[in-house]
Amino acid sequence: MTLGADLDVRLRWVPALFIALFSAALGLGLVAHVLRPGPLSAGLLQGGLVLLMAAPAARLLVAVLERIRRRDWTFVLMALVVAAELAVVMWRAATKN
Amino acid sequence: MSAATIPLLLSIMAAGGLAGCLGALLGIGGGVFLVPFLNVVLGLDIRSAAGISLMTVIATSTIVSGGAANRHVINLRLGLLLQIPAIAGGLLGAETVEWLTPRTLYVIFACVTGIVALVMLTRLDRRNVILDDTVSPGALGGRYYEQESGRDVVYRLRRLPAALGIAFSGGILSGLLGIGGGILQVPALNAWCGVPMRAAAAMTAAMIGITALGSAPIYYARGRIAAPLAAAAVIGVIAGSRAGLWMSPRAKARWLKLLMAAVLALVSSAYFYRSFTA
Repeated sequence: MTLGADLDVRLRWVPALFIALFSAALGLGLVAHVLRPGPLSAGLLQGGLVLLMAAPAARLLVAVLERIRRRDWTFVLMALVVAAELAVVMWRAATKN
Repeated sequence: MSAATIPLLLSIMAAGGLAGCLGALLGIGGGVFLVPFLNVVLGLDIRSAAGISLMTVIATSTIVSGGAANRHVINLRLGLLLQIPAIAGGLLGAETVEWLTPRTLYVIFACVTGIVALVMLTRLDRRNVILDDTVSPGALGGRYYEQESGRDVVYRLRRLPAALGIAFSGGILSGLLGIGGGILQVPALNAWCGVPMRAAAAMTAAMIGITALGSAPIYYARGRIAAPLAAAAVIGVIAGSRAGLWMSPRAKARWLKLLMAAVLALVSSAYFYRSFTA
């Protein structure tokens, strides 16, 4: 069944918050980079990219909390598997630094 | 002034806008349009283009998942299930991309886009919906209001193993080429698994941000993502995605498929040519 409807209404603030944050950081960082490249512009740009990458994970986390409340254990199990995979990705990325 | 000049940043922003619009409209993230622009037109290394593209795929997906336009069409349960093989594929793609030559990546890009364009053209009139809304959609199917028929429609998922395999392959493509995986997932779910085009596009667009997380952090850690160029592309994509979301409910499925097939055929031709001249 299509389960997105009311859940997405509840969660709309999460992507909206992340969109606002990463848009502001990337926009300001880009302006700062064009005007005067340096630690400030680099920090804003890197911070914006990290916030951007965090957005889908945050949405997934809130979705899981909502499904725990609804006792939709199949969904929660699938989300936990996805979260475990993402943890492996982060570990692989950390070892490349 | 750094190497990222204002004209360069503006051109990337404009390309990001177009990619975001088409990506939100077609559910494929826009990377399939942005990577050729960055790689073929601007001359960036294909892996750097892929890294930037992955960032725009995440941005498009975040905007689409937060928008109201297609909310009733997104099948979150099926979408999440397909993320399990898709993320594994994304990780595999990101781990192997450094071993492959650019020419190999061009050939993969050309073949994938060419095959998907052909699949789209052969399935132009296939709708997959059941107009009797009393029929159960099953555990992984869906039900939504369809403007074209003016009523609630139902669809059922067919061939679950094929859907999982498609998601895994889409993840590998996302990790290798930075194109989000939707390019494969949307037409394949529509053609082989019984998911209507609009439902496949809306669900995939909302979920490919998670697929891209299977590879984007690895590109980032490798230093493959030039932050100013990625920022310009993402800002363009944010504006373009909103335009695509506005257009999505108003566009006819047949025209969406034709548009997608035409763009993919063009991209395929460009990469076949590039693979011979590289």
